[in-house]
Amino acid sequence: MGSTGSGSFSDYPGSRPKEGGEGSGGGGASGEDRCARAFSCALEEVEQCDYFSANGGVPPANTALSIEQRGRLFAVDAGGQTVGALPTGFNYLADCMAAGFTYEGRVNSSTSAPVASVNVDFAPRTP
Amino acid sequence: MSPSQDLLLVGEIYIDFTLPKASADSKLRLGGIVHAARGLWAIDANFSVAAVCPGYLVDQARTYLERLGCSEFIWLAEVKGAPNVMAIGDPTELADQAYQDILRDEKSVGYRREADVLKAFKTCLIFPGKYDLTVLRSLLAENVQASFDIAYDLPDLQSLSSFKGNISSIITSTSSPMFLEKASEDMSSLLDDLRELSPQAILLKENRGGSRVFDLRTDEVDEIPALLGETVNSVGVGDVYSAVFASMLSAGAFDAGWKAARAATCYAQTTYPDDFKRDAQRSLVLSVDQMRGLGGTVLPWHARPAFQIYFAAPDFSYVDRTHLEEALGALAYHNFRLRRPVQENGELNPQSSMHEMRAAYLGDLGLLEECDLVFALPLERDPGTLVEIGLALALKKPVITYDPLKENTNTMVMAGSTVYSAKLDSCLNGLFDVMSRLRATRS
Repeated sequence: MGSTGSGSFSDYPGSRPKEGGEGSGGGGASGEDRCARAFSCALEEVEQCDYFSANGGVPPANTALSIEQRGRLFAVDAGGQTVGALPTGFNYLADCMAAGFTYEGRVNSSTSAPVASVNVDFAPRTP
Repeated sequence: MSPSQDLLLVGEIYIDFTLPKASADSKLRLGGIVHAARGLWAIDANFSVAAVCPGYLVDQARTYLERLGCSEFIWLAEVKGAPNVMAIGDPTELADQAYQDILRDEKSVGYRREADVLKAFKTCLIFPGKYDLTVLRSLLAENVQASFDIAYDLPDLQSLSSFKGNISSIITSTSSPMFLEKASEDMSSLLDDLRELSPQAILLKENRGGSRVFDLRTDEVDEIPALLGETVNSVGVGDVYSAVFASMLSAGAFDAGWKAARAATCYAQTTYPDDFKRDAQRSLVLSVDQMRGLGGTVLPWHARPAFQIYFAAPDFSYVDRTHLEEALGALAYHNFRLRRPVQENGELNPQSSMHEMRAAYLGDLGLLEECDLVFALPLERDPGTLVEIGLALALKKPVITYDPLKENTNTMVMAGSTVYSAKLDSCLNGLFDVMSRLRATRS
């Protein structure tokens, strides 16, 4: 019986994965970048944000959004009003934005009652 | 001998071998202080290594570390009788990671003559192991400033006494045997013992609940949030945290903690070193004020039992308990206080009377009302569990639903739950996050 992924160290910086039979994580880089991934999420603190306060409700589907860091990361409409906070699991986007990535998105669905809820989709623009 | 500005990493080098599972390949990489070295490489810090390892590992370790920019590799001591191979059962630390240090009882360590060169280093980070710390102290410079990661392999604090007056920081974690023995209920005794050693700062790493930095010069404490994402491999994450913290300590303990936490988070989310370095460097571009503004998950170990979690599940003696025990083990490992209705109000049987069923129902309902949130495991679409989820939602209590077999892909269950996932990792993250928010609301 042969063995895979345990014959030699394969995670040298700058190295490429070996061909065939490699254990997970071989090579220096995955070739993927989390900053370049599109994502979807439900926004938080919607009722405390500018848009809800000003309009008494949530923005309709297809409203264009971007992301700004104002302390936390917020989804912001074209007029600069905060619509909701991104879950803190997306805090890495602040690093991405500092590296030049921007994110454009839209409201996928939204409801104001019984609980204000805004679901959004975002796609990256690479620097 | 000219003085070196490098941070000297001192400790054992292992081979970490994560055992293969049905859902994941095996993983082989250099471990021990090599994890810490990867952290320093990622932030472009200058470092050297004083390694304790078996002879067969020296050339490969030296070559690997040189690729990470290690200025000087010193083979400090030789391990005999054991291969320094660590078999790892769970790389994501859902619960105890089940480390197996192969042949550890047969291991012995002997210092080598090369050790004389250590006097050139002004700062070091020491990971204790099966080597004598008193001998090490005699090999280091009189005025060396040492940080210690005492999470593992330190039998007692007395072992550090020869370093008193030369200690910059002491780092430990909530998974440390010493922490669990001395500080699981209350930190004060351990903190007092650590203060006796006169460090400038103490760092307590609290896994998914963040970390705390105690600055003993100002007597202030800072809570640093965890940034929870999918954990790819948590092995060595604490070592990266310690290395970056120690290397940045001169700029202030709190700032060092915030930056080190970020680097460690990046290490948990990939095993590709180049990805890690890219992500860590991007992350450290942010100012500490920006990091503070972003927030995250803060749930100190000692705050967790203050929240009561209702365990909604077919927690019966007669079912296949594999997934139940997996979840219970993970929740206990992270110091959560679970209320188990079947345990507290009794397990019924097919012959139970309606009176007994009503009594059990009312007991469970009362318990549910007392609890702050629900952790649900609706195995086999257990109707009792699904009713409990519904009741909790009606009571506006957060529900975390762990559905390992994806048996409940139902709109009300999935959309009603604050977190619904077939992965225990995601459910644990959700639990930490929800409780962190509850804590913030209470305070």
